[in-house]
Amino acid sequence: MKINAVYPIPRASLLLLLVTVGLAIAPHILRLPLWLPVVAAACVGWRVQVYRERWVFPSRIVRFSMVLVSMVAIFLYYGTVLGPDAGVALLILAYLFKLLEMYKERDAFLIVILSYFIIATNYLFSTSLLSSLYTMIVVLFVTASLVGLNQTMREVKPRRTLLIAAKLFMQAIPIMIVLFVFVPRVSPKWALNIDNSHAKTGLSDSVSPGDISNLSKSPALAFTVEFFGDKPSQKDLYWRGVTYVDFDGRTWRRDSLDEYSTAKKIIKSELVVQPDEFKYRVIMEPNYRHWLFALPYSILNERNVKQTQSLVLTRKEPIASLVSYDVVSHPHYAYQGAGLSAEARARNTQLPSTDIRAKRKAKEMFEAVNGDYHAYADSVLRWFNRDNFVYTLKPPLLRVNVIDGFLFSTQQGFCAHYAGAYVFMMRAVGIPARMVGGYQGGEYHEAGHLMVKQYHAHAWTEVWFQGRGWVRVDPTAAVAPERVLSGPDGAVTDDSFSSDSPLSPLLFRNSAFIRNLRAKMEYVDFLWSRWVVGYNNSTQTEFLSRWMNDVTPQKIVMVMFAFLGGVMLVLAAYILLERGRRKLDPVDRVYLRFGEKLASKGSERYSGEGVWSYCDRVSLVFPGSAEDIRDITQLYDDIRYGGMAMENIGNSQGVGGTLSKRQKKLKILFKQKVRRLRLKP
Amino acid sequence: MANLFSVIRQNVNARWQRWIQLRVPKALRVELDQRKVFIFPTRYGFFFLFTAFLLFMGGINYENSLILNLSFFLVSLFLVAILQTFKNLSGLVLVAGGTKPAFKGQDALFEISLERESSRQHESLQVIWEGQTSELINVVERTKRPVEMSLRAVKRGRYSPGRFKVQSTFPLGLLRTWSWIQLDIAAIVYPMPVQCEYVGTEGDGQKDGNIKIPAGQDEFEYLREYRVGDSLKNIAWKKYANSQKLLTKVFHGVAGDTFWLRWSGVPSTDVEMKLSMLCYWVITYSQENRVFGLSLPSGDIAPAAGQDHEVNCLRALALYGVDSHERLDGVQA
Repeated sequence: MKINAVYPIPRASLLLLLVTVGLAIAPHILRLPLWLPVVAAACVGWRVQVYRERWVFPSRIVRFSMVLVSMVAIFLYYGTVLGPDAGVALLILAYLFKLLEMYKERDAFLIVILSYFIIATNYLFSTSLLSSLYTMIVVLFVTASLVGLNQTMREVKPRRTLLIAAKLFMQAIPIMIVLFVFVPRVSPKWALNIDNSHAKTGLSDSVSPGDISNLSKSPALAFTVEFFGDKPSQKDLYWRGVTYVDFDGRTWRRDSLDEYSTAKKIIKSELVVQPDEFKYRVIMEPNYRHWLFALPYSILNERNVKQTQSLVLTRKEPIASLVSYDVVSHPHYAYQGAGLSAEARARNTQLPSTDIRAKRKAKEMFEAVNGDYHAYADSVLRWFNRDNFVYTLKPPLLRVNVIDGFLFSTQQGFCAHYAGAYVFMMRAVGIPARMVGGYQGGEYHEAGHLMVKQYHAHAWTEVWFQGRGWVRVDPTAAVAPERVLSGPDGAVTDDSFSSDSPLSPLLFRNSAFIRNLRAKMEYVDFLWSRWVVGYNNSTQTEFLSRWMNDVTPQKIVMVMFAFLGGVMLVLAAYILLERGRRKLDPVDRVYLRFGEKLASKGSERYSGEGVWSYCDRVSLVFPGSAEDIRDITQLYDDIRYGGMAMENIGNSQGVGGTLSKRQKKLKILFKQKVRRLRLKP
Repeated sequence: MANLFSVIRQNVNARWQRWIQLRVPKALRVELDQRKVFIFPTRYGFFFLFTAFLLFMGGINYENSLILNLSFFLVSLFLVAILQTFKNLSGLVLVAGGTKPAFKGQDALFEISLERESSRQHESLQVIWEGQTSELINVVERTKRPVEMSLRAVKRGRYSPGRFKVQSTFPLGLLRTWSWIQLDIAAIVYPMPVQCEYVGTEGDGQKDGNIKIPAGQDEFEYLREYRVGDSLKNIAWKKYANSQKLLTKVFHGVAGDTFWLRWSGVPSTDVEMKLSMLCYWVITYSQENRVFGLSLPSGDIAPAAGQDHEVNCLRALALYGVDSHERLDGVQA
């Protein structure tokens, strides 16, 4: 049997390495299967036992079966071994098992390298300021482990190792910042996609208003908008995202022509745009969806983003990380006013065979206005407004004939109910109409940017009229106009907006202090997202153009090297010139003070003069203090060179105890004597 | 072909030695500065940079600023490590210390001292000579740290170790910094003792009995103050009774017969063999605590006994025919 010698890792280093492993895994714990932390604890425990020479490392067969079993377990848990979650779980397992295979220095080094990868994968899931700060702490520990591996076996104090690492860490930060700011950001020419198994947030592909009895009102951030120049008024903030065209009587589905792959380009001649415009940047939180939000009609130049024929912006890859994009919006535009293709008209007037009552009501109302499309559209809105319709986030469930049930019996619902019913009513008389999903409004932060939260999610309609094209109509505004003016909480006509969760931030909306604090935190988050997480090609150009005119990649690289050289020079000067004076021993320092006291009275110690001859000489000059001078010299001699003799002087001065204790006491005595010395001639 | 290679190698070796000799000349005390210190990444260093590259690619692919930042951090740490690793060796002072003589074929010991000049600390240093590696040495708290190198003495005379390497990978192990140093230090290598019959004249017949042998017990010499460890037998108890002072009586031995070890007295014609044989007899006579003199063509050593005399004789044998300026330098590349 081959017996491998265990790499004798220094104690401080092992301790740091194990702490590092724990810290690196911690943020992943909630995403991992429950048994994984148990495996982690077992591996760490086993490694500690090996260090204490109680156990040995598992044999090759045991290790191999551990790997096999965990692969199977991962597969059973996630249903795959690919994908980000399962991939990270496997990486972590490999990382843990490597702890039980540390035969060489190389293995320990590999754990350090794996730690960096584990930290990197955490950024795929969370990019918040707090979690980033946490990962920097983990990075510090990884660095400390690396330092520990290069220290002597005698190094048992992890504190000192950590201090060395902290020094290196702090010195690396300036260089890192220079690299972060100046390294030109390139877009990938390839794209390895992480799959879409993530929980998607925000708007979805389809809406079934009848199935929702309790609309969640998450205060999570959907996106942030920074306006350059004029800001539109609150009532115009309709952030368009998705159009829902197909209705089967129950569910509204996203227009299949809005997919990136099937999208057709808009025909320029169908679009009439007024010159007034808003310019802004949207910083979007990851939602793992394909659509981008903007105010219509919007123009943006982004790689892999298309504008479809329903003026929806669709992106090739899902938004898996923070994305920011610059938009120019022309609020006044007319689209497809001249006419609609037969195919588009058919799709936008298509109705299921259900909800007979609503269809009958539509015909009656249409006849009442003598077949005038505009008057009919207004009369339906007036009906919503006048009858007993209630805007609520907790509507009753609707089983069959969703539209009929809503319009004639419950009359309670939220935006999607109203928008759905309105589109239905329009289509019932042959007017092309569609439901639009997006966000309405937003909250201005005092720093000037607009924050759009998940509870700003909204659904409205677009109705097509000959000559005018697609016109936005928000039927919810007919019922609860406050919804559009002040946000969803002001609009609810019952108490359904008050939160169920005891910790919901919505609960404290009325405390000025809490609101203020939250505003500050949100601002810091905004800056972090805007300038650090969202630092991409355009942010970089924007940032650098504050100081440079004409930002080109070549220029950036040149400036980067200039800065890098400068920082390295300062750092080199700091590190290499830090030679310092020879550090004086505290005892010597006290003796020098004694010499200074004498020198101030004119009795300087000659260079090279021994302490005793100096003592004899100055004793003659200051006979009154001769005894003190002799004592001080004796104490210095004893502390410095004393072996056996020290015992004697110690005893005569009434100092007892162990040798080291006595030494300490002698030093104190020495210090006191020098301090109290008054020279008498 | 093999011949050609060895010629090239010798040539390169000679050039290297000339170059390093100019850069790091031999001295009693060598302070490492930027002229003398070399630095290069270790394989871990290259792997570390490769990791940074992988993270960079990942950051680009996922358009994730923070992953990019982590890769920038690794590069920054590497750059800082260059300065710190260099700093760890630069400023270190190596001082030639004592040596311990050896017989040819045995290990000679050389002590070198690693010292720090300033408050700068030098951690995890290694001294490497002829395939031997010292353990990691810290010059952190104390200002001096002695290191003992043992080297197989292959030639009689003054033996000076070749260039040795002092290196360190502290603090991160990503870079190695090193220097080749030659200290002006030499150990005496005695001839290898070879047992033989002594065929020369056995003594000179003198029976003066006036040659002192230290540490003998024959004749009283003087009194001195008592030291811990002195035999109670030798204490002057009478004096103690008078003066309350503990005094020890010191004696020396007396040898009657004086021997001469002569160059012609050993049965060999080869110089080295003759020296080896004489060496054997010097050791033997010293063990027997005899009084003897050593007569070499280069000069005589008067008859005496004791350890100092033995060392004198061995030294004379070791340095016989060796020019005092000639050093047996071996340089390792």
